Amino acid sequence: MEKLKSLPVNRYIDILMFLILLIFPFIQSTYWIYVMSGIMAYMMFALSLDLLWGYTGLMSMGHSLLFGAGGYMVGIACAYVNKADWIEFEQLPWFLTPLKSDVGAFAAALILPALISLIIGFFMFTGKIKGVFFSLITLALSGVAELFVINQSEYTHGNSGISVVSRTVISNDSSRKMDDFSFYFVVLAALIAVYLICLLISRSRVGKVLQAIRENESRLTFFGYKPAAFKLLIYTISGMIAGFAGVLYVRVQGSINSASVGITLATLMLVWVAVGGRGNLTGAMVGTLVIQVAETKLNSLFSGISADFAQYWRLVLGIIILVIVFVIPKGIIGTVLDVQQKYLDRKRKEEILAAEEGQNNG
Amino acid sequence: MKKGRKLVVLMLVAVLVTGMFAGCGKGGGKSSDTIKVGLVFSLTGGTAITEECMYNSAVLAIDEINEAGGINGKKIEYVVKDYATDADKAVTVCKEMIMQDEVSAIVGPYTSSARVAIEPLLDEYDIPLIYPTFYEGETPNEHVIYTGCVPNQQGDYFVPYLIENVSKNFYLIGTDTTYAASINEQAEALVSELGGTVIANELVSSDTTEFSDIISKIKDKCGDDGCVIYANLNGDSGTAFYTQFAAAGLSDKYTIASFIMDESFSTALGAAAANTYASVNYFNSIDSEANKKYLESYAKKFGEDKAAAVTAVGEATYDAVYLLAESLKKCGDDISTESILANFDDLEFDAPQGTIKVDPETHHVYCKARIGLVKEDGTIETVFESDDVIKPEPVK
Repeated sequence: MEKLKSLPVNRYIDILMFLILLIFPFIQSTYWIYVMSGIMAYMMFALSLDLLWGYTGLMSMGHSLLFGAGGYMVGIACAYVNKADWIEFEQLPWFLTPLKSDVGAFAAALILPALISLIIGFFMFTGKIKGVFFSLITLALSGVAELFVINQSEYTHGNSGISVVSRTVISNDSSRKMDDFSFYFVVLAALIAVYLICLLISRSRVGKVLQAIRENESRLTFFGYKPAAFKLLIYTISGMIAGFAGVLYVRVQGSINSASVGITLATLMLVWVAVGGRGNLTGAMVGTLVIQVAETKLNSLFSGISADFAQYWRLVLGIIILVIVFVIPKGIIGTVLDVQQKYLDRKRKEEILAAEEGQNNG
Repeated sequence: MKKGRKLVVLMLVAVLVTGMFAGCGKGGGKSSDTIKVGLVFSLTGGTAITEECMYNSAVLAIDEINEAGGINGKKIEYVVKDYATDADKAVTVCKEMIMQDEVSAIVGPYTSSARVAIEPLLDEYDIPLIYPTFYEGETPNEHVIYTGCVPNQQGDYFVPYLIENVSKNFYLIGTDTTYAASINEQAEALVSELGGTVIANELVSSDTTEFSDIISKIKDKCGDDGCVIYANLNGDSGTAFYTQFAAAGLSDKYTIASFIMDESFSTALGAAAANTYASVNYFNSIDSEANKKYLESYAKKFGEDKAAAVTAVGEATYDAVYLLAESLKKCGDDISTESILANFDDLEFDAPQGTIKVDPETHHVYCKARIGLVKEDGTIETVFESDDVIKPEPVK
């Protein structure tokens, strides 16, 4: 009981949020169940960035590259297995042969992003690339990936994107589709699992080293740690989670296109994490939830009022984001934690004062 | 003070969140005296400029149909959704229109990626889509009616015309996409077949906006006999090429011809686009009663300057709504997807571009091929028109 009480307030928010998400499909329409499934996939994606940016201080501006890499593996597998009409090749090239089987495609969707981040990370971290340079290089890589996907149209269908068998876990057979309601719980279970993994990592000793890297890397080096190895580890894990989120997202959406690896998504997710608050996991999830639900709501609200009004929804969303970032730069959850910390500090101060007074009197 | 402000924002966020959840559940009921149609266009985002005309044309057509008495006494009610040039968002908003608003049919969008992304939804929920954009061609989806033209209705006349009237030498440039690459490939074959010379066939990546090396290559290779610069470049890349080409002083010697040129492009480019060729099934300079009526009511509703930038996709959207209305009229009381789609077969409409007809086999339209010459003021004058409507061949 004491242990429960000492938990930071954001863990209660997590539990509350998961409870709401659990009852959500029972009180909402199928459309909103579908929307929320997509948002939950995005929340996993945001968690993967929070591990990297919030905990380790590596601001990846091209994380969508890994998200899309996972999604495209499933996409190409679906196109090949179901013989999409734009496919002109007879056989998959050797490096894509795992995509023939459903399990192979799923595994490839996890391994490829991990491999990409391992390679990128190896060169960047052993080359001691830090701070804004890391951000810029990842940003550029995401831009390159977008062009690469568009230009490799033989396998990716270029600008048009690929239709994917939706709402299956691993299978690429369209007769195995679940309905929106059941698939919602698959995504929710995955989200909770990813959340627990992230929580475990952040509370482990590795997690402490990561936070030390964020706070003062050179001091950590003096202690005999090799920051590069830890950074590489977390970048790879984060990449794998991003790939997994990508898989679930395309399964919800039923399609994938070049925007999924592109800069727009990569920068949008920075907004999610910034609005929610970095380095506490809750913030990444809450930020994604707030921004994405607001986006969907505003779009439909504005087009509902009047058609001429419809185009202003983005402006309003932008203003809301700006206000949040200006007034509470630590993000929603960051500010909540601040308030709690201040309250605890004050309480402690009062206790100490009271104790001192007691001593003086005695 | 500062703390108070933070608290206010936090409360604001809390209100926002609860508001979202509270308002999620409402669903639109189907009322019997209207027919609901969904419009999906980018009102924001990268292609919003192009799609504004499509959206306006759709609204114009619906208003006209309703004023004329609607469909068998029922009015068309429309829902519009913005997909912001994002295929994922297109899926979301279409799902919203299908599930929440319960529309009978959807008109839109512009980009191919959005169409491809929507198609599985159409199959799953059994909803017809009227797609009003010229595009690269695909195996027709059984839930889609295509009212734009496909490459065989443009290119087969364009190259012979250019060989006869401009030059036998061709320099081909295209954005490295399926669309431009296949068009340039077909052109290359056709040029050699007709005894012309292909000087080069180059593809550039879609974000290229710096063409100095290509322009100097053109200077070196094309010589003094004149040359057709067959340039199928997307969006910003295209604008950059026209501007740099004109700035290099090449427009007197060589002539650009492009599939992608239309009124929105030419009015934006101004003098840089003058004396270049375009090929599509509709130019807003077409002199016909139906076109005059269309442009006049468009100008009345949206302004003269907007009417000057009406393009082929806008006209195709106007046709799409009218064809849909005709099909709905034939449906009578049975407004099911099956009967809407079936009633499109052989449907004819006296469109601004001339009479068009829906091909029952491919669900694309028969239309005329036209070639236009861009004038100084940005208008495009029709210099060639095929004698008859051409059968669509979406799969070559």
